[in-house]
Amino acid sequence: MPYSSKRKLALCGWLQDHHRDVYDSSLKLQKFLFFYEVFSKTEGENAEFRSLQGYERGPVFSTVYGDYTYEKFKFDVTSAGIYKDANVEINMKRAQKTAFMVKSLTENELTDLTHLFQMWKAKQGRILSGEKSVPLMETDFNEEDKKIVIQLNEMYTDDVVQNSKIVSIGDKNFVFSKEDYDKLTETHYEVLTKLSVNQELNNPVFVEMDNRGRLIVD
Amino acid sequence: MIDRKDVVTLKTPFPNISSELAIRSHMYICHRVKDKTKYFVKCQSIKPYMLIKNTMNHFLDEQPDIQRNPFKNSTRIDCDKDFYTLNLCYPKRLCTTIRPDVCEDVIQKVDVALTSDGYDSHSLNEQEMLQLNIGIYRT
Repeated sequence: MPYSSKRKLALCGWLQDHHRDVYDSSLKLQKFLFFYEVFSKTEGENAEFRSLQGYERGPVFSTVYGDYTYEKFKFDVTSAGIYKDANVEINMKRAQKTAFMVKSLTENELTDLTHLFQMWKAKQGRILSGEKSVPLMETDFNEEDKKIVIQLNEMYTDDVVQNSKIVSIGDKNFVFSKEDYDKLTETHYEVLTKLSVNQELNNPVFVEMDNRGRLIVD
Repeated sequence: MIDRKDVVTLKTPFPNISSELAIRSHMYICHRVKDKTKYFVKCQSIKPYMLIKNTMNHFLDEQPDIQRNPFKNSTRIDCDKDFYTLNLCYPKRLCTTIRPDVCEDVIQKVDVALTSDGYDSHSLNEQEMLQLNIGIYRT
């Protein structure tokens, strides 16, 4: 232990420190790692896809999955330690954006999103026929994949990521400015609970508060 | 009064939730004015689900660009349908503030997208518009 690379451990340590709720979901942690790497690649920086395998619910870094699943306590301690040692460079802005995006979507939505990538689609037939541990190749990442990443990057602007907080109720993730978030009352949460079953709202649901305290929903 | 190309933010109610507590709000581009009738197309923030399942056949995507539009986020303009009111007046001061309209290129692309296969027209509930949008009035 651990089989995970130092880069992945540092990223997991960062996630554990900053977004424990995302870290505590094995699927969301894997999506965070995948999107961090595709954002890195699209921005022309070093990306690491070693040990990436295809499963029914999307790409999985198998070494991280193994360490996280079978030696969780050690993984928590080691990843936190490697992140705090600061020997591995993490692009904080990218990590924050990726974590925010993962937090703003449900596990199913994230799965649907990673299924769009050619990296996964290239092996879709083998994966869905039940074959295990199908390796996913960086060379399958194509221009269409790049377009998806660019579009996601445009949806989650730095301004939104830096200045917003997410309230998750049921399957809906409501995004508020930090200022409005601090003004939320019990009545607002009751309204959000009602809105959380509205089928016409799609994640992330952007909400502002007007000067009467009324919720203005995008 | 607003004219073709102008953009206004319109509030609409949620079913089963008091509009004193929560309302929906979207930008609408006025794409046609005929006598007192105003026709609008609706703008929505682009979201990840749109990459997965696009529910629109005709649309125009715009990035925030003060030279072209007043949008704060990546925005999709739905050109499968438009919305109209028959007797409502929208003073110019209701226009968006970053810039009050879209540029000629955007409105022309909206025209093309709307007319390429035809579109549905939906009336907006004028009573709700009056109740929720201060400044709009009926003639």
